[in-house]
Amino acid sequence: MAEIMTPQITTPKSEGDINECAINWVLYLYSGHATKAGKQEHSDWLNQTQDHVNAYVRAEQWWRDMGYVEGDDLEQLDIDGASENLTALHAQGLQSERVGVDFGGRVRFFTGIAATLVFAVVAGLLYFSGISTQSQYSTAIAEVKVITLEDGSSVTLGGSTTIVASFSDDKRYVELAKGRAYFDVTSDPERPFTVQAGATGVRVVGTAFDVHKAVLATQVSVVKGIVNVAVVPDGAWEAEDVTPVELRAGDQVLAEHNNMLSDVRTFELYEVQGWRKGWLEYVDTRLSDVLEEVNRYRKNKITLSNEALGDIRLTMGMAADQTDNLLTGLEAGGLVRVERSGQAVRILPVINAENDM
Amino acid sequence: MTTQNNNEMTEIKLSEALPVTGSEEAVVELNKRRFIDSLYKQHWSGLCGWLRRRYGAGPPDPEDVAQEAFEKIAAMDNVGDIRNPRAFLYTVAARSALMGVRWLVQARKHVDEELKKQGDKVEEITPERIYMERERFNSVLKEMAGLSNKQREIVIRSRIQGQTYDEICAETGWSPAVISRNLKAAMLALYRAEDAHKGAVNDDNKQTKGKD
Repeated sequence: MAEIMTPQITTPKSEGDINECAINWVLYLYSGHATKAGKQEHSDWLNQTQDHVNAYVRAEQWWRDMGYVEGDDLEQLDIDGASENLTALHAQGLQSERVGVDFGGRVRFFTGIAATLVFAVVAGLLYFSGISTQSQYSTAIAEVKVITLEDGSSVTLGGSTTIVASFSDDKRYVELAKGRAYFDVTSDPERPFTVQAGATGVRVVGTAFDVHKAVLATQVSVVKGIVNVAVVPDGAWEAEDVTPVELRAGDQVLAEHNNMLSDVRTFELYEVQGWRKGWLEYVDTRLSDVLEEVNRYRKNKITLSNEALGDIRLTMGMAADQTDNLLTGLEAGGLVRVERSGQAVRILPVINAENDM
Repeated sequence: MTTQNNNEMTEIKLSEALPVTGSEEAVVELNKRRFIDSLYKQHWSGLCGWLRRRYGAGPPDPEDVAQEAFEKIAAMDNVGDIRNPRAFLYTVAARSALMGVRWLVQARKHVDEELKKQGDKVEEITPERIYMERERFNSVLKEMAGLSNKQREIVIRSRIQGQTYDEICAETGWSPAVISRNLKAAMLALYRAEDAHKGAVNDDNKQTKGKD
């Protein structure tokens, strides 16, 4: 376990934006490492002008009000679970981030080329968390949330969705680990924006598009601008056999996991925009993929008794908080039986089909 | 008295107390007790669990902290104004739990004394303020929800659990520079939301003025 270095927490400099200065003072005083001398410096700073006092009161008031909590809403973030990722990486044989990095900082790694690069650059740097800043965003079941990335791009996350954003000086990379997200990307020709969902890569310059990482396929739909979509298992766009397909506004493509891209089809906006407002819409979509999304909006997950049922194609829409309509629709159509026991919901073949042996 | 029960909130309006024979104060007292009882039934175990997870088994004992929170709320005057009793309860409990952290108590004391010297002060989170400034507190919840997992974790550790940078670093590996940068980003998000809201209000005022 790395030794904790005594942090060199210093008092804020007086120059610069007064609000930032006041915030820096609040953070200094509540770092747990404020000294008597530092507190005196704070007192002197307050004495200098009324502007300092006003700015400080604003900052302190926000700091105190930030303690307004909802309790269980904060449960989504499992602080203890945060270390699971590192354990998994260790299992893959990657070096501990503490090797060669003596400041006790923690760096997360991707597998493959990116990992070596980050490690090589970080070693020898002090008090630095790495060249690329990495942020993870997650939503709870049935939660739809809009977040803003550090480059100003906005991402709408669907229920039970996780993205990990990693930005550096020359690229913007987002992994769609789970779920569905709508990206509205700010234009930055110096830094291509890449989304990786499983083996599917989406590369853009600046545009708006929807990526849905479902079970059997990842679906990419372009609302504005131009994107390139390719099957890139390791995120390696430079590899020889990678043949990107260019999509423009109104184009949609399915990337079957680890396979080829489907033909490009056109889609209607309502097909991909509904979920952002709590409406789930499907056009000729396979049941497995429908269930993958619907289950991200339900506590009682729906399962299939056999995989073949997953190929049933559906065209329907439903409210995200009324997904039981899916079940009634399926039963009414005579396609399946629905079995409920306790909280579990299972879809089974209709009895006649089974007896026809 | 109207009682509206959904999962999260029980909203009881003291001002709509039924006219009864007997003093008005007695009626208000009775409603208040019913409110506290109902709050207790709904949230006692959830709160204890939350305190135990966030602050450990103590000292102070999570049940003691929870008890103190209920007592504090019971002692308040405008308890009926609380729109989101659960959020307020948790906030009061979190503040109680932090009273045992010595460096934190001293930091607050320093700030309060310094501001008093300057003829100024900061307000505590009270039911009245939460109601009068509900946009502001909704902003806090909204901005917290928009933070990245890492930022939220850092805010929880520093502001809600009262950990020092050293303690956060020991448990997460993040350096003090990273910690303060992320806390600052969270604060600036609140500032931006406030400025944006003020801008919108000013535009509304301008429009109304134009109609005179």
